[in-house]
Amino acid sequence: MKKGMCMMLTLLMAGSLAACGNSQADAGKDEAKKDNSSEKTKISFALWDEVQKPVFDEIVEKFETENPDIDVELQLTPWSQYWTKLDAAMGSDSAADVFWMNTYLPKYAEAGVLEPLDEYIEKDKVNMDDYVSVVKDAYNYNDVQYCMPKGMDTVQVFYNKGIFEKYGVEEPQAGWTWEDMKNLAGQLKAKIEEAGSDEYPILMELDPQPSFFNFINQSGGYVLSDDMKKAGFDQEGTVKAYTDMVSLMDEGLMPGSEVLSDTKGTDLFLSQKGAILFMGSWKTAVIDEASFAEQVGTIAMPAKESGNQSVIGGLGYAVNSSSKDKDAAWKLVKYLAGEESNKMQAEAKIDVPALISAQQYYKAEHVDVNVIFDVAETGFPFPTSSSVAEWLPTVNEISAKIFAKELTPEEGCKQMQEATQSALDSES
Amino acid sequence: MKRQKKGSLRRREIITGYLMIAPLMAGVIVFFIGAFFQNVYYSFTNKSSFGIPKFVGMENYVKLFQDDAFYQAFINTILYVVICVPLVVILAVLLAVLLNSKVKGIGAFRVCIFLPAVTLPAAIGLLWKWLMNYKFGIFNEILGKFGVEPVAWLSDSRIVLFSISIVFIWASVAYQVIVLLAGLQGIPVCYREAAEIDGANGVQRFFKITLPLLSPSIFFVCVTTVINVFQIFDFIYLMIPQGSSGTEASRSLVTYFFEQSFVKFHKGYGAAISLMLFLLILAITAVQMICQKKLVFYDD
Repeated sequence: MKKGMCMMLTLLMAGSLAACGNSQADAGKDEAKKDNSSEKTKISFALWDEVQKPVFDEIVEKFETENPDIDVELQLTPWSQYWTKLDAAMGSDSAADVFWMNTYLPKYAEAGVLEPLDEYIEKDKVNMDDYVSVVKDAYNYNDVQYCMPKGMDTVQVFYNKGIFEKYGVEEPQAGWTWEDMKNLAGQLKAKIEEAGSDEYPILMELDPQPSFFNFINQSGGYVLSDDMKKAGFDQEGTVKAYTDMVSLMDEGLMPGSEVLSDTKGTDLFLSQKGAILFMGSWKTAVIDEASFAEQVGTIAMPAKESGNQSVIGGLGYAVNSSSKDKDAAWKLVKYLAGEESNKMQAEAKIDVPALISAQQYYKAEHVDVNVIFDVAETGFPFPTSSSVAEWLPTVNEISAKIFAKELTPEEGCKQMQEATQSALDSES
Repeated sequence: MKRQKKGSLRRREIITGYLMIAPLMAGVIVFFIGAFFQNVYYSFTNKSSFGIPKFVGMENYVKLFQDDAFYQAFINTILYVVICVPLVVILAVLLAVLLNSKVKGIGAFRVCIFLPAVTLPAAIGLLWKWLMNYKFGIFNEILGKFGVEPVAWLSDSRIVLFSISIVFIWASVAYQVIVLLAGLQGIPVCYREAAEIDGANGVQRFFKITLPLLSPSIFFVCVTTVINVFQIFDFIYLMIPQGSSGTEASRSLVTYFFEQSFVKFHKGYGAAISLMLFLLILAITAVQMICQKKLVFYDD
């Protein structure tokens, strides 16, 4: 036993020595490489999605072939640490030169750590109208363009044709309304009960983007005013959106929050337990891989009082304002937001391009994705402000209480209004 | 001459000893002690995402004592302690005594009881999350068989704290059983045999001999369990989705610290919360140390 331990320890130590040797050799090789092309500029590029990373490895490789004088280092940081690390690195001036950005943009723009891109855009004559306007505008803060758009997310309805057929209910028709949906769902519910089965007529994920932020806008309310100074949870339309969602649950057309908080709506839909699903475009690939994908129809959301517009999210590429080589960083950003990079991302189905000319490359095998592009035309950006990290978690929590019926929509909206408004007021 | 030689040898030994522990000490000083004092400093600043933190004096603490969410997290944490500690200790003693008996195949039982201690908390959390799933979980399935209405284990704000406690108890009993089992096996058999000859029955032997002689181990189990429960975080984080209706009712001090520091980026405020937790654990452990003198029996 003891002898065995000794052997193992020796082996381990030998192993670690060997490892040291290796890395030194590698370092030597790297240096040699650098010596050959001493003028090579090194820039780093940070992202958080390991699913997308392989595609970005390829894109960056192509970029390096076209720009032999630039060496790009890809830094993958998981989402759970991405922002903490970015903030810490900003403080010590070691943050990546180029990095992914999302709705946290105002916070970073306010802090002055993002390089304004307008001059570069003008100099290189990049036409910003080539991008979906909502995504482009989402990264334009106080009239300064801080990011180049990457992709976009829209919300639409996916429905299981098989279930509609099974119960002999008519499928949703383009131009349908919230009332039409309730009507169809009511018919389904009656037939499902009659058959003693357990499907749900309507499903959704109770997160802001795929559900209530859409309905708030569609009911004539708003989350934040256009100048991002006023919270809109005291608006009649906002309260109505919550009331309408709770009534879907009360009428048994949608499962209650105890079901949806443990099992995602999309997962129920994938196990063929639901007929109508409100879902973000970012999960299209999952639906497309389902065994019944041929049976899935897509349609824009039903119209409420003020329309059927969708929240549009999407990422952007930002340049660090303290980057040592901003021109090289901009070159990379321009390439990443360009035709070739978008084509590669679309073909790999990792993102729906915000670059309109590259949208044709985004195709699903079974699901009709054209609805995504249609929806994008009427959408509105995800509400955000520099204190979004402060008020959004609170809004989520209180909304969950409304859906769990611990609070009425009126009480909940009152609390959300207070919390959000006080966060907005504390923004300098 | 001889003496001097001995002295220098001893000094050399001391130096070698310190050299041996130096790498570990360096780690402890930098990552624990240093970090602790840095945290104390941050708790008096408005440290947030970036920029140089500004000294704000007692502001964080004043805010803390007016913060309803902090009180809620505080009460929840106390509730976790009140529920979990007695149950972990009682269950661990009972199981240890059972596992100490001479039954065929006792090794297999010991392995089964110890398994949770070598399982990753993440795996435990995910597993129990499924067991407690409202619609597909086995718990509600079993309850249904007895005609009981399904329970929303992970989203009903009146239940979540108990659900998390169940998982915590299940996961932490395992390690404590091993500690107590070692303690039990350290009790000389002669005491029990003597009592048996004197005519003491099983219950008497347990309360008059086993329990007093086991009390040092039980004390150790109490102290470590109290500290672990005060720092409860992982199962809450893994099993209750953030922003769901169970969030507030299950939130512990560490969860609240995490949210403030790493979700909302109020790092100075988070530092103040963690310092309060430190003081709380320090106080309770001190009380335990004092009680130890009266309640724990050392068989020297």
